[in-house]
Amino acid sequence: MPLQHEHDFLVTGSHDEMNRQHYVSRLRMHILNQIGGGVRDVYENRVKPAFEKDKGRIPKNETEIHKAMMADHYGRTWSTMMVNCQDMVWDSVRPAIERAQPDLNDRVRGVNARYGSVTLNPDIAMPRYLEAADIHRMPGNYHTERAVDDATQGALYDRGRFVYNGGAAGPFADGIPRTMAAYIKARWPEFKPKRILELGCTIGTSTVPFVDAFPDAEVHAIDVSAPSLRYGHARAEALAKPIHFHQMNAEDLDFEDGSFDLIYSCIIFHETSRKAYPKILEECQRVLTSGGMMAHTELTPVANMSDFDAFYIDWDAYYNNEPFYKTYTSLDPQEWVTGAGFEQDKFFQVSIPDLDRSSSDAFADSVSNPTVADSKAARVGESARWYTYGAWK
Amino acid sequence: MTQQAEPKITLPRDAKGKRSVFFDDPAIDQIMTFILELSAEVSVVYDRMDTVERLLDEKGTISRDDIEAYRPNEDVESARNERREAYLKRVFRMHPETGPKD
Ligand SMILES: C[S@@+](CC[C@H](N)C(=O)[O-])C[C@H]1O[C@@H](n2cnc3c(N)ncnc32)[C@H](O)[C@@H]1O
Repeated sequence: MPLQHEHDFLVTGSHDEMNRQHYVSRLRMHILNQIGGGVRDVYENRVKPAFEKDKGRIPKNETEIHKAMMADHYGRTWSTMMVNCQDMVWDSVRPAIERAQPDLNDRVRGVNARYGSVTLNPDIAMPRYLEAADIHRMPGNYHTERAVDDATQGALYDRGRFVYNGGAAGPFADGIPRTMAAYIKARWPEFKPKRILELGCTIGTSTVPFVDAFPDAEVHAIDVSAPSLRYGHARAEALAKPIHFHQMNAEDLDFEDGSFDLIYSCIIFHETSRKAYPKILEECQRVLTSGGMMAHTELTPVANMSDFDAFYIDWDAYYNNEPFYKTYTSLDPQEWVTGAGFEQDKFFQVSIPDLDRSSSDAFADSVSNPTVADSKAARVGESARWYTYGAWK
Repeated sequence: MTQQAEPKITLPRDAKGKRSVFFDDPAIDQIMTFILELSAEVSVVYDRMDTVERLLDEKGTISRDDIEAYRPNEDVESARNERREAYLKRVFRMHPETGPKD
């Protein structure tokens, strides 16, 4: 596992705090792989037979499996470990960030914009789905401000997310967007976007790979959360990456019609709402140039999943503060994309092998023979493939 | 420019939203928190000893500052990760499944 790249604004911690963080990463992997890996066996070998003995039939849907599994001690132990570990991730980073403040905010405020910019909108209304609960149980979510010009949540996310992933997304925590950008270039080599927009960029870890992949393009990135944007801008300047950050709501962009050739996002829709999702797709359709493309990496739809896999994946919807997750994975992206005004035959979807965690043959194969057949039920970080969909305008 | 003293920033430990309880007796969920936290502390102590040992091997004598300043390189980190994984497998092992197999 790589160590995290330490840019000027990253807050890690003391000797012991860093070791605690690294331990929590391994603990999370142990719970996912070793303990989580046993959940299916427990279902097949104990819970399902017991259900059958009692009811004279096997569970008929995900809900019944959920109920039966959560009545089993293994399901309960696995679950309580998952929740505890999730809290331990953020708690392992918290003291170091408290100590780094208010100096960190001062340094972020003092950043000289040499490469890009950040434009905030203090009047923006926070969507209810971000305010209702802290997603992934990160205290304060992406947007809470604790001081004037606060960047705390950005710092918490940067280090905490690395701990959460156990470094699986590389030293820059950018496995998904790096894979997406490489894929777009490999599959459509003649496509040369001049203006690129990322939706829901948080701290810009997912923006940087597109700057690297398309050095001639002007790259913009939006998010509603100011602390994340402030921190992301400082980080981008420290890495010498030209990115223009804007505080905007993806449901209602301040950009003109036809102003971007490529619009993309990494794992944002399932954290929005059923109402917001189609609005964001409609904004993509409006803001894209004709001949432009949108591409979104998201959770794999559960349509073709077994009831057990759906239960396993939807665990987060119940216990990890992800209220839209379950509904989102039940939707058929193609329906919603065409519903937003894109033509049926301009839609695409593909499961892309992660650049770092698969062979170059597998990656090349997904370019020449794009398919979603290999998509498996997996929560973010568990699989080495990324389900990506989108459309040309 | 007048420099104003900025207030200290503190982060809450708890997330907004429901925290689920999984066992009929919530004390079991509570005890799981204690055990998992303790497991992290044992690992941190182990890493600190490892730092002391490595520094002693290297320099023969060390100060507290040496320990605090020590940062493992990728090789040391992966050795520690191997040790952490073995430790996790020893401590957090589920009981063999005793339920009906067929
Ligand atoms: C899971 S994070 C995205 C992670 C990021 N793309 C990455 O790969 O590191 C979701 C982000 O979407 C933002 N977001 C959610 N709804 C939004 C909306 N309607 N408009 C703009 N940003 C939104 C949140 O503030 C949050 O930063």
